[in-house]
Amino acid sequence: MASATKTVDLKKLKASKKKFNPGPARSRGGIIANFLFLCLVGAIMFIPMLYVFCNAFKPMDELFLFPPKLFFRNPTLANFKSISTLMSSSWVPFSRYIFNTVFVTVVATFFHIILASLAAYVLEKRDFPGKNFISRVIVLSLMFTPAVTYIPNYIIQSKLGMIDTYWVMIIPYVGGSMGLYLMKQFMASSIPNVLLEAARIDGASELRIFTQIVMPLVKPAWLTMLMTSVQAMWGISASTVVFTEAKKPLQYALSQIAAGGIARTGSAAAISLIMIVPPLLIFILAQTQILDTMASSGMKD
Amino acid sequence: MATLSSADKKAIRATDRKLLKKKFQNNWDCYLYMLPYGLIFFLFTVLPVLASIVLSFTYYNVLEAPTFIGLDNYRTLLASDDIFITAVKNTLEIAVITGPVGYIMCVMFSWLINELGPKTRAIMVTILYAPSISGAAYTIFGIMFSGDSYGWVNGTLINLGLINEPIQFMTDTDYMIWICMLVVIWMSLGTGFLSNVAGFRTIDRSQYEAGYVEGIRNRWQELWFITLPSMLPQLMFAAVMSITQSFSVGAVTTILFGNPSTDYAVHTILNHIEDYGNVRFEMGYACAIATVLFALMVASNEIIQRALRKVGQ
Amino acid sequence: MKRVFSILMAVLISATCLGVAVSAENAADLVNAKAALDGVAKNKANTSAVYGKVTYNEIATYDQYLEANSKIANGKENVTVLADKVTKKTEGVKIEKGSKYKSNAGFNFKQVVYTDETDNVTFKFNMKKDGKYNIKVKYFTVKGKDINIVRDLKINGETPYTNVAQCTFTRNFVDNFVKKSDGKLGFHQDYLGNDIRPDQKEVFIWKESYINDYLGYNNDPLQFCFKKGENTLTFEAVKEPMVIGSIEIVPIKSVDSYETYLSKHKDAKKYSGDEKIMEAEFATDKTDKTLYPSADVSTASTSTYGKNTSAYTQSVNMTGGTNWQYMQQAISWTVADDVKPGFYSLNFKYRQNVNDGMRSPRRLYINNETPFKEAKALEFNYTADWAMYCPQKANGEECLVYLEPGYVITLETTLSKMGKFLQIANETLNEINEIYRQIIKITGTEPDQNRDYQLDELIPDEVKGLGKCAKVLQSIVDGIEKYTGESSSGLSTLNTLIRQMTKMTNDSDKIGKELSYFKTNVSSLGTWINSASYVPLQIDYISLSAPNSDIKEPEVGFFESLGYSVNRFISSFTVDYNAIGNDKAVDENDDETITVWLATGRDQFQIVRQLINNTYTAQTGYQVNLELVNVGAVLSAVVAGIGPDVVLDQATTEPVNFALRHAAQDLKKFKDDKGTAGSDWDQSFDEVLNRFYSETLTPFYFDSVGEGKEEDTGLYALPEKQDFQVMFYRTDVLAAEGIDIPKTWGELVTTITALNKKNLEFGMPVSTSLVANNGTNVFYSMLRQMGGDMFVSDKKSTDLQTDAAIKAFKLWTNYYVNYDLPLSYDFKTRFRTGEMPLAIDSFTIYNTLAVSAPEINGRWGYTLVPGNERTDSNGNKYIDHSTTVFNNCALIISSNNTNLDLSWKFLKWWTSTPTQASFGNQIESVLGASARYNTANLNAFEQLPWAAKEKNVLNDQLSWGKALPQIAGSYFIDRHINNAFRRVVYKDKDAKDTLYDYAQTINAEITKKRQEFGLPVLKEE
Repeated sequence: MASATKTVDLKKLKASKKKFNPGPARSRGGIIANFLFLCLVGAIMFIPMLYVFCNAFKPMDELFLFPPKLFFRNPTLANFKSISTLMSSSWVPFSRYIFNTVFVTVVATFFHIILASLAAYVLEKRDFPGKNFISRVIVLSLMFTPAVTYIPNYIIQSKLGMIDTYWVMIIPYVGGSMGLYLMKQFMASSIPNVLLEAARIDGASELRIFTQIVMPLVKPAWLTMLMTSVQAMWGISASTVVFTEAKKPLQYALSQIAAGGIARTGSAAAISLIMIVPPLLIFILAQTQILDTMASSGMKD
Repeated sequence: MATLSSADKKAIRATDRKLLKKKFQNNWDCYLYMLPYGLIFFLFTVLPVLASIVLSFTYYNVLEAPTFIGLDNYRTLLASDDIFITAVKNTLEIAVITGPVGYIMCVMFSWLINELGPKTRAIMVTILYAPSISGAAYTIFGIMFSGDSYGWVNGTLINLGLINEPIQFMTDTDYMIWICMLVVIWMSLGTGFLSNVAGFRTIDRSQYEAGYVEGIRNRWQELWFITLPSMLPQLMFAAVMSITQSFSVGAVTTILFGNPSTDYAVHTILNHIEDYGNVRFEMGYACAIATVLFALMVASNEIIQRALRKVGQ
Repeated sequence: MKRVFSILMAVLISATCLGVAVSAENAADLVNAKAALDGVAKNKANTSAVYGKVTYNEIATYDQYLEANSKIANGKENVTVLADKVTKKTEGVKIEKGSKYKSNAGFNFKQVVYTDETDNVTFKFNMKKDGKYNIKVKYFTVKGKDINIVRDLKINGETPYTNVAQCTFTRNFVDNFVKKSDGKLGFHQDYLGNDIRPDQKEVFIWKESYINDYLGYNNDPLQFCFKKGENTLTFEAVKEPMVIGSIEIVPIKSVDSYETYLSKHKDAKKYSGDEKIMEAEFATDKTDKTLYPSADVSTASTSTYGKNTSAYTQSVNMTGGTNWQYMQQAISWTVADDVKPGFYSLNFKYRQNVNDGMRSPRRLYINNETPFKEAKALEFNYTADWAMYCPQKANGEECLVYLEPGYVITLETTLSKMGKFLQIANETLNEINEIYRQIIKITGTEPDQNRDYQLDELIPDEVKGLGKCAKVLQSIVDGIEKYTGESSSGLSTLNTLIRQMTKMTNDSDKIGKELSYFKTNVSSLGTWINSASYVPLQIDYISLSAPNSDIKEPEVGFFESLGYSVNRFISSFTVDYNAIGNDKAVDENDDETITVWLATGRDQFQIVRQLINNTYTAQTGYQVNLELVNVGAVLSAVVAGIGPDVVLDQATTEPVNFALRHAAQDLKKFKDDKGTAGSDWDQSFDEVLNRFYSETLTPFYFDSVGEGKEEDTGLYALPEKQDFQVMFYRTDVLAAEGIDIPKTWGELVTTITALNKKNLEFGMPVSTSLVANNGTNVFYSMLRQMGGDMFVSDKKSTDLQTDAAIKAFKLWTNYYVNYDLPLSYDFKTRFRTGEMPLAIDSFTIYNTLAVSAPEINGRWGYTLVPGNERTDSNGNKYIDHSTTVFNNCALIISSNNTNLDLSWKFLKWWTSTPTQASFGNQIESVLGASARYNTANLNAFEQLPWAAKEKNVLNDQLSWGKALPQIAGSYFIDRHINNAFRRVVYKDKDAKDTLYDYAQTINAEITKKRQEFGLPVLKEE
């Protein structure tokens, strides 16, 4: 009996496929209401971002207004220009600060992806004593807020002689647990064990399996890791661990312009925008990959 | 089950040990692959927590070597530190309200977004996800709720004639906690939200068609019986994320309400740690608070994980 | 993924780095520092501050003055007034023999008149007929504070027009060049070949100058009308001493045309050789100490010693920039001997990349004479890169210049045609403000949107006045667009205001609706006028070439500049920035380089780096590793043992915090340091302490034993910046409403009620979530005025149970409970609109007001905070105007610091008068008047451009300054004073009990903290 009713409905369903029909259980009014509601909520959520955007183009006298107006009335690029004139007159060339950020990002991202994926692969696809304990510690570390152990962390880094070098910006990020967790979950759902067994029977060494078979398959995952680490490293300020002028990342150098005082309010507004745009842009570009990886981010155990 | 004699128990343990040794032998290379990542992970994530736990048993004023004082920190913390009690109350109050509300918003919005076409969905996801990576854009709330009679909210209320003199949102203890929650909720659509959005997309259409066949007519039944159960892993991950976020509220209160806020009205555990660590230079005591906070987070995570497993039964 | 909010934190922290201090019986008396203030008489009776009735009379503008005297013809007489014509003079004025001052050609006088910086002198002379004249003054520059000499001019006893309020007479400075081996001029160099910027030396000479418009609105010398018979001319000193040789009343002469100029040199021939380059960094002299040459590293095109700039060394290769942007600033160059006499094509290689769409005109002088009409304003346009410009006619035809060896070429800042437009705009702005004040009298500042105020019946001429002003502004916009040739972004501010005013004048009930927008547009006009009067300009070199021959390209090619930026990038790996300025290499083992941390902004960092290289390292040979760090970095770095030796710009709470934990160095260790004789910074310990007002040292004393004895008390820091509160008042609004300025807290109550009647308000700082010490500072000032104090003498507990404390706390909270003063307000906005014509706030707000509210310049001032009537020991009554003075500071970190003596030497250099003064001048030239530096060094404070009138009030208020000492547990003071205030004001709790409760909480914490550090504790009676 069930199958008969099934066939009838299928024909109706096939018919409904052609014109826009979001599924059997949706009324047209519901969709429009949903859309309008989302637009309203989106607008409210986006006002602060809009405020930061407009502030960057406001001339000084509009920035000093209270209560501040949301939109600018006489937009100007003066704030960005004051940053470039100041940076061009400093001994350490602007190119060096950009190089520092790029160098730190590339090295940290590369090692993070390689090492974290290797660890994730071993944790997911191999069985060795202590595996479950390590996985649980990693899940626990997701809940971890760095602000809590700031001083012990600092002492460990200084004992290792990393303070005021590039390594203090790179190594702690390479050990990040969020990337490993996402990679592990993605491997679990998208790499069948039978594939690995076959390769092992053909005599392939673990490393060759990892590089030739596993990594190409988990492309969306490590692309997401690439995106998240670029997002994190772009905004790295390392303001309490790096002191020599020539080693400072871009964000740290720019934020010190804003500390110049009231006269630098314009530059500070422009810098806030510079800080927010790249991570946002990266997210927009990589949204599809990020969402694919996130799909498998659920907790099975 | 017949009770095992001691000899049998010893035998089982022996075989376990032999099995374990064999497992070691043919999987020794795993440790080698784990070593580089594991070492860094241990040094910069696990060790600081352990060090913090160890330090919580000492008096350490940051500028001189720590001296061991046993459980004194915990005794003063739990027994005589009433500011800590208010901090825990505030943190729980914020966590209990913003946690679920933020979490429901994550689920609801990702579910509503799922209805949109691919183009609009991508834009809407970006708009809703933007606040959580917007760095310090939340300072606008400080302007919105400024105590000045020309502030946006005060200004409109005065124009509408609802109040005749400005409300001090930022320094009057009655209003501060609500403004703080509003900001935390505004920032709550973070990684958890993304995983939900992705989760919704993995449920293939056929399940809905099958559900329609079995008599599910409206949207709500569909949600409870099909959508949520199949998205359980994402829901649990989002739960972990929202717990972490609501427990680690600290920067928001310092920027908007100052640290410490009036009569500790929005003083969170993280603020308490910063107060003792960076202002009073009592680092041992601050580590003790951090350890208690960590324990609180792990415990509440366990409880919520168990509750979530019942979804859809 | 740590959330990055360091930008906002950095801005907030630098704005709130003036932490609170806690005071007790002033431990500073233990150190026998000299009388509190060197330059300030501490007499309580007379104070220069303004009190009681306020009068505000409008002074005519220059155009109104000329219009009123348009009938008087240009005079022909030529009268020279000498020292014997002095009729009235104050006691400081001396008539001296002319020979006392080195005289050069054309300046020898039998007698001269010496006037000090506070003197007035009047000259009497007779004129045959009424006539209009220019005034030329011959004067000699005597040692002062290295800033321009300023006099207020009065003719026949009253001020003719506004532009003479600050007649400016410039000084003469020269660079300290080094004679190179090849006889040419050069700069002192360090062992790496980097140039050291030459310091500026003042040369005292006779100078001659017309009386010009100090605002720069009028390009020609000012005209004055004298009547037949006896006239008097008075010079009232505003700044700096001056020796007057003669005052000449001369007929008005206009600059001759290019054709007459050519005819004067008709027999000279045109030069035909190859191009000669005069490097601009080798200037002969300049009128301002801040017009020093500097090293430009931004492009290879800047010519250095004739070649392109190298990426690996820093060489002084240009002059000017944002330090050459104010009026009355001139730089001169002398033509070399190997230049053959003749007509030259004179080209300036210049760059102006600051004000987009605006010009930076300069007036050209040859041997102190403007040769021809076109030379009155060389219109240097906006350019992102270097470009060439030569004097030319309106149609672009080049004007040649006749030069001979020894001729002096001078460029002086001028506003050219823009001056006239700015003058009219300024006058229109005052009119608009007057109209705005009439409007808000009727509608109030927040008009009800849907009420019709019938403004066109009540104030018809004001409504029509808006239309008139709109037309005037429109004429200005058209004029500027014709003059600059394109509409700059700044003009959009004027266009918006014009559109709005035309709309308002046609339909008067739009005025009520759009009043808040109108208010913002009017203030933007004020800010535009201010920014349009800055004319920054950089000069690389002056080219003398044969007429219409082609000259050297100002910019290098693409590949050369690409190569330059690559080299610059590589240089950042090889160049050791700390070594710049040292004349010998430092070998590693006896490394005496100290590490100094600075916690402010990048602008300050670059200036301090320059100062260290050019003066400290150049003079002492000790290198300094200067690092710009985040405020939070100091604590953790000291913990990890990699902290700095000296930390600058620290909050006032830090010295005691570090001292408690043995991480800060007790400066008394250097008690018997005698310093080096004759050095202006390396002075003895006591001389160093005397640089500051003794009260400001209080928060940096810490008694390590805890019994309040002198020998246990160490000094752990020196003050850097200084802040205290004064009372701002709007002269015009108070005069119009007939409200007096209160002298005591009692009189303030009557003033507040008078203000409230006219829906105006009074403001007093309240603690906000970001600035926690506003409230404590107001309370502490009142507490000290009542004779109480925050702590008991040995600082074991607070002293808040005395009736003085309770009276002060009641007085403070009463203003908010009964007179409901605003609990949160933006002082600058409300003071500007006039809603809040009287308020207490930090004196540094003066700078932001001067910049962001130009439309009320001259209509406001500040005086002492209200005081409390007290009777002193021998019974006579006086008013105590105590106010809280709080400072940030610089301290030496003692933990693992191997160079303690060097750290102390650097600290002495940093807080010395020359260093603080040049840092203050340079930061202001880069960041503008809003960054005027409030240094704690009293002599350096005198050298900074605070106008004299305000300085006396500031010094009077400072003499009342009381600082809060810091103790263990001080962090509880701010939070609980604020909690107590809010409980009484928000929740109407009883003041006495609330103060008592919170005092107990603070005392408990103090006792706990003292036990933690083993300090003796308060015995429970």
